[in-house]
Amino acid sequence: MMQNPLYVHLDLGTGIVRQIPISDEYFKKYIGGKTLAARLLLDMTRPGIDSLDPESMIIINTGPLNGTGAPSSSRFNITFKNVLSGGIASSNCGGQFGVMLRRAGYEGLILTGKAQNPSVVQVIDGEVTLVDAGELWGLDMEETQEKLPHAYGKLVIGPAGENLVRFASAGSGERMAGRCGCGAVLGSKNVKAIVAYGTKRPEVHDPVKFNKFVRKWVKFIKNHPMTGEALPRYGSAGLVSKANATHALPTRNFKYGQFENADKVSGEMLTETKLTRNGNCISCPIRCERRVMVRGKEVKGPEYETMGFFGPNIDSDDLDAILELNYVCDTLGMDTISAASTIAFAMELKENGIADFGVEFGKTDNLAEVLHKIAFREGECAELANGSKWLSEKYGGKEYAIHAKGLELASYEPRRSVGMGLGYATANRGGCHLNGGYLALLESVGVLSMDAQTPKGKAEFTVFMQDALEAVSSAGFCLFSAQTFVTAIFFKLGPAHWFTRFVGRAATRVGGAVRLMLRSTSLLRFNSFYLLPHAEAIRLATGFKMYTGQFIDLGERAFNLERMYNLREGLTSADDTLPSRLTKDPQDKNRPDTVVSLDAMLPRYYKTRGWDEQGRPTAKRLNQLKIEV
Amino acid sequence: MVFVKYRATLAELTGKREERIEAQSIKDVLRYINAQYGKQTEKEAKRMLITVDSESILLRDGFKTRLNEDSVVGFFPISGGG
Ligand code: SF4
Repeated sequence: MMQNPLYVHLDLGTGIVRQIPISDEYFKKYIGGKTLAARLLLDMTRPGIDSLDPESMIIINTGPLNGTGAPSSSRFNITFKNVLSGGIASSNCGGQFGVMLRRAGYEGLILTGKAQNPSVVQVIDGEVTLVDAGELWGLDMEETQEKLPHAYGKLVIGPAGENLVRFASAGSGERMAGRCGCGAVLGSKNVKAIVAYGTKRPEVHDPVKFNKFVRKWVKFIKNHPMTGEALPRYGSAGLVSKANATHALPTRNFKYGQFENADKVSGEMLTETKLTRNGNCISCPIRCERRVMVRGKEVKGPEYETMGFFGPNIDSDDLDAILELNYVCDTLGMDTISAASTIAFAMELKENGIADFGVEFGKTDNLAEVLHKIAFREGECAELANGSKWLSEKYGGKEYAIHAKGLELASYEPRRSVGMGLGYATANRGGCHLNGGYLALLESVGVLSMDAQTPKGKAEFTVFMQDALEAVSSAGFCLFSAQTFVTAIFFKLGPAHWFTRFVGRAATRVGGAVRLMLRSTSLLRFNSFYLLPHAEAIRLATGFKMYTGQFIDLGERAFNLERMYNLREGLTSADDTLPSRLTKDPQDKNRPDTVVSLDAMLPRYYKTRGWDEQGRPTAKRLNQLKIEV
Repeated sequence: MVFVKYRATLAELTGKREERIEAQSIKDVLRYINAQYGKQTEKEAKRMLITVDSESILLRDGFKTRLNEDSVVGFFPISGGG
């Protein structure tokens, strides 16, 4: 068996360090990453603490696969109280930090309290210390990391985090834990950086079988059309054309779903005209990262979300501006999605004559400056640092402030992907496509095409996908590694082939079967390499019984724990909603079905989850999942 | 004459980014690609995301989608991520 994880807790106020061995029971039940972190956050914090209060907790942890060499397994997790929603947040990040934290002897680092001065937390070969940040405070993400020793795994914040911008990110290398404001939480604790270094190699339970399995898996990933061809060639940015073609590309603050000049800001254009080479997170054969030139320097290029939000959603077709603004956000330490979406909302406020923050649809030449002002909370842009929900509460325009639970939606227009809309509304961290189950991949931007407008079957698929992605993330994997579950045959046939279309259409009719499967996970005592290789990898690495059924239970456990945290912090079913632009105002005025019919999907969603009508997990379901209250 | 845009692999296989051709439906366009650039290129074209006037043919009649004189047909790669 793999050794139980060891966590370490540092009280930043007192400097007291305490090791926390994770019990057998917790390790087996919650594995690691966001699932274990949600459990600990529930156990170790009292209700009602503000996210930026010194007493708040931030957990940075890994999963049992981190650093083992399994494909796409270097991702680490950050769990904390969501600055934008007041519920839970978990952020999955690449970069070296997670692997180095494990090598330094800990699977998780828990921080509470507030350091007296700007500080750096050091975790070096098992020893945890707090040192003065000195001249680092005030530097951007890039400069900060350059000043820290090269060999260390680093997690740092930029000026946005220091100034408590509510969507400030933290970064490791050029990889971002972007969403929900973890940069602000670290900033509120006076933590400029966390560094980790060590030489301990993570062990696996059965190294021979594990390594053989990893080799087979890498080969599979490289041969799969999605992970071996599409993602390496176009990155996630390749989705722009597909989203545009299905009216799912948010345009002008989600008013429309198509952009006239989408071609100019597409992933194909990015690859053809800007890509210098691919990059990757540690041990990832997919290599989806775009490397591009900005200001004469090679940097990480934009993801799909950023292409959409700094392009069509602000009515711009300026690809150079997208690269520049992506880089500016990354150095200032701000989530590109929330920053750009808040700007789009401010643009619409101006268009409607409600408020003027100096931003206008189609105008990008002042946006780098606007982003600086947001990061430093300066001038007329200072208020934009609070996000679109806050702005809509002050100025109005709630119907087109595009967020769920306070977190700005990702770049999929849910009126043309209604299951994605249900996912946004129910995601525990707010408007996130991944925590929301990413049904857009099955409805509008993938090779399969479920009917994107019907509510039928969407509740069941959303639950299944949310749980599966939670489980993948818990072990330390990148969620992109799960995209091989759509079998290669569909890519070989193509999206318009009758068989691919038939399967897509038929999927909406098998909701009942999906629900039955979710209720009978104990029967799924097998692992399918082609469906979810992650479960087998966990089994071989940890030595635990981990079959498909247990893997799905793990994800469901994570989702329920996060839901319990949200309920404890005062969120209710009334928060499982979307702005009325998306639920009441058809995208296509001639098609009344181009709205997110939440009323038709939510009750079925709660039922499928085994929750009551108010969206509360029932004692029976929690008991079945072995979650203690 | 419809306007056809080739992207990604199809631009490589045809050696063109765009051209004007005579076609009444997507099937005609695929037939043209077969005749002009070979079966393999047609096979590749069928695997791609095909649009008519920026809208996926999946939202229309698939390969049977009819075209107008001024229709713009696009071939784009399937992608992923999130
Ligand atoms: S697929 Fe991309 S984001 Fe995921 S681990 Fe690999 S390089 Fe990183």
